[in-house]
Parts: sequence; C-alpha cells; structure tokens
Amino acid sequence: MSMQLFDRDFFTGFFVLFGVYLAARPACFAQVCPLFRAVIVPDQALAERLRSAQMRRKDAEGISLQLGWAVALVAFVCAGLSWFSNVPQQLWYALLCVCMAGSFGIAYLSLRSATKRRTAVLQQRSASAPMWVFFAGVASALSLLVYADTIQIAFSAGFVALSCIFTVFLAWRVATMPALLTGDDSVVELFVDERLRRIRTGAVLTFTVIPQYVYASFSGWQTNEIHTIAWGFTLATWIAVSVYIFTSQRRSPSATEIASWRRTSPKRDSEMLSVASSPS
Amino acid sequence: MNPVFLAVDLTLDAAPYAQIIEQIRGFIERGDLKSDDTLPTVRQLAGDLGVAPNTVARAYTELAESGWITSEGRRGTRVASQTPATDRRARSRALHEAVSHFLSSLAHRGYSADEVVAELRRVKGLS
Repeated sequence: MSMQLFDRDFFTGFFVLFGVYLAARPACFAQVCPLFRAVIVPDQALAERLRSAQMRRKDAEGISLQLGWAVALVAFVCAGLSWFSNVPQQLWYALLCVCMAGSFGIAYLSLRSATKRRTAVLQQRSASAPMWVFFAGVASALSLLVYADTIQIAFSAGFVALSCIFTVFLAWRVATMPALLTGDDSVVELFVDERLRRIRTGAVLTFTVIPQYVYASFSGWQTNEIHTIAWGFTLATWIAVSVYIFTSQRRSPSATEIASWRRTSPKRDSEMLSVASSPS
Repeated sequence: MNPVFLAVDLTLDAAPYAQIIEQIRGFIERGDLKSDDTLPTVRQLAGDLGVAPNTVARAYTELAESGWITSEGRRGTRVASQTPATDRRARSRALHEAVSHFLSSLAHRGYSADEVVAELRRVKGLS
C-alpha cells in the first residue's frame, strides 16, 4: 500500500471514529458528574452533598450538548472529504483542529457568562498548572512552521499551529478562570470547582500538544533533518505535558477538606443574604 | 486556614463595596480571618464575585485606610497584624456607636428603648 493510500485510510478512519465518539458522548465539553466518579468520600451524607454540588454546577454552567454534535458532524464531513478528494489529508485534519479550538472557545464563553449568584473564597488561588506547560504548547505549535517549506501543506501547518496556540490561550484562561460558587454549600462547591479546573485545564492542554505530533507524523518528518527535529520536539512536548497531567490530577478530598465539610452544612438562601446585609 | 466565603447580593440597597467591607471586617472580628492571613487579589475576588475590579479595589482601600488590612505590593493583601478588632477600647467604642445608631434609627420610627430591649430579649430567647 502506498503512503498516500495509507494516509487516506488512516485519516478517514480517525475522523469516523472521532465523529462516532463525539456523537455518542456530546456532553464531553460539559461533563461534570462523570469527572467525580473516582472521588471517594467517607459517608453517604457527604456523598449526597457532593452530588448536589455537582448538579448545581452543571446547571449553572449551561454548556450546550450541541457543541459535541457540531464537532462530530465536522468530523464526519472531514472523513468524506478525506476519502473522496485528492487534497492532502493534512488540510482536513487542520479543519478539524480549528473546529475543536472553536468549540473549546464557545464552551469557555458559556462558563464565563454563567449568571448564578456568586460567592468568593477569601484565599489566594494557586495556579492550576505551571507556566511551562503553556509555553511547551506554544513552542510545539510554532515548530510546525518548519513544514511551511512544503507548499502543499504550508496552509494546513499554519492552521494547525494557530488553532493549537489559540487552544493554549484557552487552557490558560480555564486555569485562571474565576471560581463558580453559588454559595449553597460553599466548601463542597470549592472542591468541585478546583477539581473541575484542574481536570479541564489538563484536558484542554492535551489538545495543545497532540495535534502537532499527529500532524508532524504524517507530513514527512523523515524528509530532512529540520522536519525530524520538529517531529521529535512535538513528541517530547506531548510526553512531558502528558506526564504532568497524569501526575497532577487529584483524586479525593483530603482529610482537612472532609473535616471542613463536616463542620459546615448547606446554607439556606436567607442565611446567605443575612451575611451579606449585616448592619454596621 | 479554613476557607472563608464572602457573598455579594446585588439586589440589596447596600453597595457591593460596602457589603465586602462589612463581611471582611466581620470575619476579622470573629477570628475567621487571622492576622497576616492572605486575601485574594483584587482581580481574583472581583472575578469570583462577578463585580468590577474597582469595586473590590475601593473596598480594599477603605479597609486598609481604617487599619484592617495591609497592601504590600508583591506580597499581596493581608489582614493587618494589629487590627481595630485587637484594640479592646476601639471594639467597645464600635459597639457603642453601632447600638446608638441602631436605637436612634428605631426611635425615629417610633419605637421606644424599652420596646427594643424587650424584642431583643425575645429574639435571644428564641435563638
């Protein structure tokens, strides 16, 4: 089988599988509850409070399922274009990358415009990811520019690089986003917010380093030394960022957090308002 | 430090910056916030509350001017080492002023001091 046929078959299969996955799980951009399945809490009452906090969070965020279906549709279109057209596969891959970046952007805007009553925690929030992972994504994206010397894939390389840089920007915005606490059970909501922040930052960061590696792998990385170095760099950044994401995900609330949960109880609305309107 | 939470209700008559000031002062007086505890940045607190940064900046400025917090540039904003809450005389004075203001406002509405005291005893007995 020639390399061109292999590329066509590979990308078509990839687009179809990706589209099927998103069509079956359109809530992947809006997941809340599935991200807490690994969390262990010591008793049923605390588990119920955690579940309630997740539901309030999901309701407050309001991210549409249509995002997942829209990207699935684009993936299926790319599959058809990949199979039937003679255009290099990288162009359809770049199209999907741009679509994914745009979907992340729309999901992020939904989060920023959540309008539920807001409560703030009076402590400085630490960065949910170190700066080097963001720089790694940008550097990896810029390394694709070496493929601009091949005219057939210059545009697609540029689109993938730009979409990855935009995704790095979104990952940083997700990592530093304001907390979304409704105040009904603030200590538990804080745990939910911090866990979601870390997981979602990691998920978006994944899409800042994988597309470049996939692109470079199918764009003649072995044709010259510069391309090989760029491909190696994208692989190294993917591994480094993946290791960071895997080792930084928290599992369950700490003993201190559990003790804090036990000391508090879900607040009623009247209690929150009385705190806010206490006379001088 | 156990997390301390602050809320702003935009439907109330009290301005958001005033609500922020009152709550932070209350947390310090009750000991929920201790000396040298770090407070969030203006930007973080404004983002979390959904208010303008100037609102939080004004609250922090007034709290700093009255000695409750200190802003130390890169070290950030912290609860002051010595706050008005740690001064017993100032605390008594603040209580006296608050009660006087409270009784005065109710007197303007026709309530006598005896009625107010009786109601306070009744509420205290219920809680």
